[in-house]
Amino acid sequence: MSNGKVPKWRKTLYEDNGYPDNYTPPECFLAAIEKNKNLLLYSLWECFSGAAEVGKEMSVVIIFWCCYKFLKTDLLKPETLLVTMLGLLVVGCTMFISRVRKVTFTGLLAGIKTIFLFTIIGFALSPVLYKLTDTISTDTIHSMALSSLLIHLLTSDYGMYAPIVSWQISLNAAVFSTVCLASRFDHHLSAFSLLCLSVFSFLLVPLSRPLLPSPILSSLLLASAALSLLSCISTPQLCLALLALATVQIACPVMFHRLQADKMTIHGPWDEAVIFTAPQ
Amino acid sequence: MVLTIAMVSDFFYPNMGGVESHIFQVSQCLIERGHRVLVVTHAYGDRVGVRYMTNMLKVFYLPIMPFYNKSVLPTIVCSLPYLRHILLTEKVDLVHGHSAFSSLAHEALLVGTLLNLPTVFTDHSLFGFSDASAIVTNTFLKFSLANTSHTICVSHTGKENTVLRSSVVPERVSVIPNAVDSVAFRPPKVRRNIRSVVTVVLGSRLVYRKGVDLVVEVLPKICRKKFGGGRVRVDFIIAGDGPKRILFEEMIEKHGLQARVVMLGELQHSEMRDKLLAKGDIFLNTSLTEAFCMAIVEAASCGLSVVSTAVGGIPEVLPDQFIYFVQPSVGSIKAGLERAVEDVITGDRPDPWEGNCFVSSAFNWRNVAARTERVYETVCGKERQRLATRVRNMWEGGTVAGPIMAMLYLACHYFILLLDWCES
Repeated sequence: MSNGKVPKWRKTLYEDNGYPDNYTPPECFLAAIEKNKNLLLYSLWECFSGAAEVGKEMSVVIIFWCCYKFLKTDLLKPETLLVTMLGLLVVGCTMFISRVRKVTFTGLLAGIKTIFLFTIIGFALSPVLYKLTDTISTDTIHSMALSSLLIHLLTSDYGMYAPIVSWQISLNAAVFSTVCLASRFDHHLSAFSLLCLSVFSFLLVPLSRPLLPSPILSSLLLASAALSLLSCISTPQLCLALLALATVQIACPVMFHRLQADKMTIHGPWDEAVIFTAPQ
Repeated sequence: MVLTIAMVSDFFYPNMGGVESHIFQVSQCLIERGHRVLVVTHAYGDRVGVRYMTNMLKVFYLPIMPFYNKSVLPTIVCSLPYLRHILLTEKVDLVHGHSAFSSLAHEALLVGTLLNLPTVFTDHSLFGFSDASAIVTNTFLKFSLANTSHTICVSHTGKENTVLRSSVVPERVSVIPNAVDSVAFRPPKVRRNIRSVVTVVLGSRLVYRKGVDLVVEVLPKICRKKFGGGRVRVDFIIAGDGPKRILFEEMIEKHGLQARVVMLGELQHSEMRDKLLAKGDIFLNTSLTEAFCMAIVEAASCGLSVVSTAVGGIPEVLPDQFIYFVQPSVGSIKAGLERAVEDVITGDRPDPWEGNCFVSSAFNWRNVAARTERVYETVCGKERQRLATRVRNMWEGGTVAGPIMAMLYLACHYFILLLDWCES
């Protein structure tokens, strides 16, 4: 109001408007506030796809555990396992080369040389490998292996950036669990085949992510394979695994999607400015 | 009405900074107005116990070691007996806490409300809302301010920020800006004659928050250009230290600007005027967030033109004739600096002493102390709240945290009763 007597309130600190210090006109107070600016909302499909990545990794871990159990009880011969993995590796490689990235002949030769080198060294060292943790009791071995597999799941890269993600820690944790479990075997070939399986499932299978058409479909396939294998071992473990997979792949995305409606972010002049990096 | 006021904060002399000088200056001006002021802070090295500063300002250095970021660990039970003893023996009438980052200040506010004293809190900074640390800090601030009688903020943006963070009623928040000693920060006696060099000065901690990445980009571009029809060049003087100093050194090496850019390193606050501000024509400030920014007021008081990013509370501080506002981008800062340099060359800017007069009338410590005294009188005149009301205020602060804090408050109340009984 400017009737000549009372000056208009201005948002400045250097002049005395005549108003008391604790007065701010209601229309000026928080006038520049913006709510929910640049809000990123995820669709239900995106939530399920994201959760499917986690579910896939969990299924791979369960399949690894089942193969270990089968190797232990001699239901699965180590030779069979090795031949199956070799076959899958060849199929995967051809699909990768044809669909994702072209490789030169020298590149292919280098890759084959690495595989050959790894196989030879692994086979040569496997008698040492399976004796490493021989004296530790089975309960301790199982709990160490499971906790390192849990660390592997926690630090895996699921497609989103977070401070906890580190592929080095996740791969090392997985290989550590293999070293623990390999000591329960009697023959070094079983230990070697378990080591190959661990490298195959924790290093090579995540590389196949670009090959697969839809994460949800592949996670469902892997989950059903894992659960059917687990049903041959024990029923309580099957129930727990089913519960875990259902929570991660169904309950969590639905909850996340529902809670998005409650998102509220506040922006205003008090925010730290973002530096514009426009090209000069 | 003569009051005994206890100023409590983690940040005080021998630490140097905005909050520290604010507490000291306001205390001195309040003593001048006839009140009795004491300051309570934590120990600095072996500076422990009671010290007296200018005009019998009694400072209590409590024997508590700082824990993180020069603040003590907020245990409450550790500092409660000390604070209670000081507040009762000195017969303190009012507790005034400073700075949201100071845990000692919050504890003093808690003890003050438990002893049924009026309490005032001054918030000197802006804070965000989005990350986890911000959420926790804002929740604690909410409980701390639930029973505080009045809050003071240093700018209108600061008031909005504090009200949003702590859900305080806006009528209980006053806006009283900081001030600058315009006698210490005066223009040089002999006015600088612009012949062939215009000097731009920069004085801040060299960290990301102060936008130094932008300065590193702009500096070579400005140094390359010639102004005033090709006869004037621009030189830079940069004071301050920090993790980003290496960027400046690299930039100087890369463009060969050793003769054009001088790095002074860390300067004491008392040296700022003589070694930095008296030698410059333009002051550049590129902070990304700032509640009040004392530096630009000090620069205006010394008669420099100010080029600053318009963030936080900065648009409220200086009128248009003393400041050029820019956006936090390289292009905008370059354009703003060019305009300022051209105006300096043509002489199209206010006289340096005009800036000093403006600052001495608009931002002086006696004015701040008078307005703070008015807040004290309002607060002392109000009726004291009963214990039940205070506990209720805490309880309603949150669904889970509210009851917990209310019970903690009651536990502290019984602790004080226990201490009263032990002493009698």
